[in-house]
Amino acid sequence: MSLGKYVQDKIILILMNGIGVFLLSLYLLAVGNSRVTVSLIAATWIIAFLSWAAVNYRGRKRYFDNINRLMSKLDQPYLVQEFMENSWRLEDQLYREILRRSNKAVVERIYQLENEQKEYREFIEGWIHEVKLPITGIRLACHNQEQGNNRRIERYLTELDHDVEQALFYARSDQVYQDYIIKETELKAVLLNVLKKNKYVMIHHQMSAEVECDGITVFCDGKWLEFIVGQILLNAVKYKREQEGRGMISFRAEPTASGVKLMIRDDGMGIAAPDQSRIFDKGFTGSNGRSRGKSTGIGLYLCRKLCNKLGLEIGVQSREGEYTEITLLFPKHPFLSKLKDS
Amino acid sequence: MLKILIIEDEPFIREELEILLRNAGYEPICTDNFLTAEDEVKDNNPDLVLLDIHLQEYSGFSICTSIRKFSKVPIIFITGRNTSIDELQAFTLGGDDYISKPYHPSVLLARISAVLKRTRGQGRDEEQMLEYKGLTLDLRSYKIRYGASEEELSKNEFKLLHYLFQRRGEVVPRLDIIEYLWDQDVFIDDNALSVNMTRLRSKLEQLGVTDLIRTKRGVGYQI
Repeated sequence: MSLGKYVQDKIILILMNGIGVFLLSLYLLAVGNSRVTVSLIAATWIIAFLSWAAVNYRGRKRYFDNINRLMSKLDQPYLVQEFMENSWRLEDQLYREILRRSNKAVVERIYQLENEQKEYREFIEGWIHEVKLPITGIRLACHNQEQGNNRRIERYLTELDHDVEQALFYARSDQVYQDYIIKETELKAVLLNVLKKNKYVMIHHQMSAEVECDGITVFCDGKWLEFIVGQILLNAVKYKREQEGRGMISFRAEPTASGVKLMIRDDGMGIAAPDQSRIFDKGFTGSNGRSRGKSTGIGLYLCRKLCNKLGLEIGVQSREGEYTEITLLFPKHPFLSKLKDS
Repeated sequence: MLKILIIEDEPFIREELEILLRNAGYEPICTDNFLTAEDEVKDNNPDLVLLDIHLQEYSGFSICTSIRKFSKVPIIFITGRNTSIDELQAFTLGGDDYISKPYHPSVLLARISAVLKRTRGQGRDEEQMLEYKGLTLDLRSYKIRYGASEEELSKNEFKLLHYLFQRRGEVVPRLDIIEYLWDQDVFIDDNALSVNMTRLRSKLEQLGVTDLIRTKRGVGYQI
């Protein structure tokens, strides 16, 4: 609240007082008072009015400054009404009551939306678990009958499975903290699992793979890590160089001063330099995505989100037409490492 | 034959599992009465139990607890909801392994044989030597012997030859070989298979074995 704004707000009052002083002075002069008496009376009026205005301005300014300060401190500013000081002014009381009622409506609405969202998420999760049953069934049936179509069905199943997993992790990604177990995990076991899971897709696309990380362990949740690596692996398959027909992906891990570094490198089409900083953004498809036409812009976004939640760093290096290398950094946790040593 | 008890509430998965295990050389026993699951264990004395966690209106965990009261039979948990809590509970209640749907049949079989191996001890009458047409394959040292001479093979070459030995007489498609090698943690493509095959053949020739592996054009290999 500035002085200028205050004056503007009280302009009618000021004008009325001005006119009042003027008319009173005229009258007093007309009935034969001396100029000195009249000026004295007028000055008293003006001083009294200005003092009132000054006190009023200060009081109002303090009141609103207080509210503003409260607002900036609250992490949910819409609840400010609960903390507002009591005021004897009728207007303040009326506004406060209005705010209270409006807040109540907002809070109810938020609660309702949160509930709806939770129900929706639970439904999606439940549905995903339901749909896993028939996938398992088809897979078993496929394995049990020896016929030429199996490989093709297996491949489609892998893709279906991948999409379903993606949906599940997307639905869960906001509440990772509820569902992970950080334990010492052998990196190689995780990588081999991912490769075997995607065996049919990889072989079909003539991909080969190398794993170099014997004996390296990290502190991480195996399930989430498998998902992250799986996303990266399928990207390598999706964006291999077309003309050669075959592709290669290598996993190499090495201990560093601050933890363990896992480098996942493919010899695919690479990522154009201007796109590199944006590949982890939600919905970003880039020129590669557009040319292959299968990109959703969700996979790597989820990877980064999950990495953040798990405390991993994810980065990319690439040269167009040559390679893409995704780096995952597992920080060494002093507490966990100590547990291991003892 | 090793007996495996399947406790699973989804009928079609139960049936397929039964076929899968039978084809893999086990003797599967099924039950859909979960209240008597522990009697099933007492009566049949299985070598392993496959236990679904989320049975309808019944928890696999409580079955596990009641089995554990009288038996140390290895238990592998199967679940559709792979949450960390389930995983943790599976191990704290005395499960031996944990696998989530949708699993790959080959992965499931591998886990089963790993658990059986672990719980029954390593030395289960597995073959150490394979012999075919005078050529001996030593499974422990990755060596092949023919007559008096010996040759060491690389891991890839050895696994390749081992697979052909397992399917002797058959024409083995290239894709089958590649898939087998992937299951053995050798992640190669078609080209690399040819390279490995050439190297294997030249090593065989050094030993004096010629024409052991025949190429069937457009199909695969045969020994």
